[in-house]
Amino acid sequence: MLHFPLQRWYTAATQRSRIADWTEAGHLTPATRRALNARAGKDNDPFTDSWPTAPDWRAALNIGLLWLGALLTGVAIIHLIAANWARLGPLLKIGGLEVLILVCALAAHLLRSRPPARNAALLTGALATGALLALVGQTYQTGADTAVLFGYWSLTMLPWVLAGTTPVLWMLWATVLSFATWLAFTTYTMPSFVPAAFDVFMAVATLNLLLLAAWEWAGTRISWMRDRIGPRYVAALVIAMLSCRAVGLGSFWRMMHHGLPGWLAWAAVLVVLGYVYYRVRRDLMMLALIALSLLFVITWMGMREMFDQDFLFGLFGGALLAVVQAAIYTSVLRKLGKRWQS
Amino acid sequence: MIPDITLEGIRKASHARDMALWQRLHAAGLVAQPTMPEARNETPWFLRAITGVAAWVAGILLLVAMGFLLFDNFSNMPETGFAVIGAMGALIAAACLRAQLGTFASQLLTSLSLAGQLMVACGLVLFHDSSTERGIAGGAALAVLALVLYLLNRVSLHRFICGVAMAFGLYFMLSGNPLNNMFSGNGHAVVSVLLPLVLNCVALGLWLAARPVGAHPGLAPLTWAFTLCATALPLIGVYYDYELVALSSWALLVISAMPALFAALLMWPNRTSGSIAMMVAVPLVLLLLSPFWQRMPGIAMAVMWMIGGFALARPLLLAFGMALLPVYLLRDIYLTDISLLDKSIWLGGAGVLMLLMWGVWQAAIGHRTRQAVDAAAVKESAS
Repeated sequence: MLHFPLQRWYTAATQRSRIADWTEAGHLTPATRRALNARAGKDNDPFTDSWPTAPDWRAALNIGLLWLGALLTGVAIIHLIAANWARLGPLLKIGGLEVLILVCALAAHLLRSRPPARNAALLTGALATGALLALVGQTYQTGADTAVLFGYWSLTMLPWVLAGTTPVLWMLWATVLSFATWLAFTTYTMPSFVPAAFDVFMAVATLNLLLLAAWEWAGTRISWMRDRIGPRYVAALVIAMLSCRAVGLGSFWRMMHHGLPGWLAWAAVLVVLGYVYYRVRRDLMMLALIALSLLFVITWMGMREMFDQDFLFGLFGGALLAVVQAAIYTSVLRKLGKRWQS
Repeated sequence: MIPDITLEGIRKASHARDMALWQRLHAAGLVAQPTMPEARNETPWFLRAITGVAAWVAGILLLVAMGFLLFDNFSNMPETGFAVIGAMGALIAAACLRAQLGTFASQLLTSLSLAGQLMVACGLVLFHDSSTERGIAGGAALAVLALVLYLLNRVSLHRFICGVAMAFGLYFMLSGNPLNNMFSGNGHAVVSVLLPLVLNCVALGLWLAARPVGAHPGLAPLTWAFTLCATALPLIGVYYDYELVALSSWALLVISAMPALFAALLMWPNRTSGSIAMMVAVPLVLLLLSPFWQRMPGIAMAVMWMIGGFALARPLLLAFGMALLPVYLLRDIYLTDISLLDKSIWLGGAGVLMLLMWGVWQAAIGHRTRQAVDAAAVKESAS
């Protein structure tokens, strides 16, 4: 059980809201509710004393004064620095960030017996390396592209991520790497061996698809990688990229190079992911992500076809498409969820 | 032991706590049945989210289609006719919401009700040039319609939207058409002086009315709507106007003192269970701090919601206040009414004063503890 200074207050507060819910649902009569309100015990029991007591107020004032005071003082210092930002030397700015990184590394080392605090220190350090790279680029005008900045950041971040024991750090890393890939594909002309169909959406989706496979494999080996939030996040990136590509490439009937339709990659990946998360690894939320993508792409493409016929037809037809699809997908997934539970 | 901080772990722990509470209520004879009723909707939240998203998309598409159908006749139709159609649509949607509906139908009807209220606002106020009579009549009509819609059903999201519409109706009544005079004349006086005071007072009153356990559950969406509207004003940052310095500085003075007032109002009815020292100390500390955040009303409001959430035992309101503080501080950097250096001085003053008070208090506690220990030691050695 987690203990913190306002534990009694928090228990009392959640009990109050639960009792309010049950009253609204008709399980408690107003008379019993009044009886509950009237009880003001002196025994510090959250059940009989649901309002903040004198010790609660003392604890709140103690925490509030200390943390609000520290926060406002910190923000005041930031404002003071910001007011004189142009006059501060580059050495002071860069040196300050380096000190912050050093403090984070030291904190991570000292807090190794407390994983949540250690991971928080590592996260701050990983973010600070990016800020340092950006500051160096801004101060000395290195001429490097933003894509290079993000690429280097994903490299300098890697030691921090590897030292941590939380999926949050890996999610941040996947985001930075995806963004670097995005920027690289939109900034540079690709060499000739990269086919034209392999555009920026395909690149980011392929990267995240590889990460998804790696994550699912790691989840079977490492206990803290087992949390589903990471694979779901990476899969959401894959699906979002391919859905945007499918609707961005134009009409449903339009063929790409080699006579293949533009939505083929999207459909193929959805089929594979659907099979994996239906058969191999049961995950209802992944299937819901696939359903959301289907809803989005089919409604969009259908509306475009209907708009070609008539504007009002497109609007009414789009509404109908969204309604019917949502009904089908949710009822199928609901039944599936019930079957998996039983 | 490391607590299980995954979502599933938190859900399980909260369910176990609910079960224990129900058993205690049953043992005390306050509920009849021995087993806790399962109120949880069996459909997972993400499936309900998909249904809701589809309903809003469909609602918006239907609204646009409706708008285009009306637009053909728009040049012939007076704006009031446009508003009447909107009001009728909203009333029908709100009446249909009375039935026990699934996620999809209730979200679709909510979006249609919102569309109807927007049509009323456009038809009666926004499509017109500014005129005081127009503003008062149109704003009053919108507020009354929103009130009727609010009373028609018990759907929380719909009621919240109606609450926001009521706040906007109030705004139109006070200032006329915001598209024309938000940053000048009457509109500015209202936004910087009247509206913050009125919205804050209404929100505080609603929170005070909801004090006893389970009292007035129907008012909760209205309370949150007014709380959010009142909070939005300092975030928008339309607080200063050189012609109105005297008036708006008076309003800011009142708002900066509101946390102290709110704390006093909340602590007074529970004076028997709390201690008198705390009942004096908390409002006094807040009153001492109020001059420092007088030019930054967002901080006063964040502190006010934190105090309110704590005293009313509402963790959500407390979390709202805590989230508002960094959001406002970030926004505050870009508000240009006072210089960064001034902001730094006022913020630093408040922070240092808080830390100073904390330090003195802790020192006093330490001193008293040492005295008690010494007295006990003296007593022990004497005996």
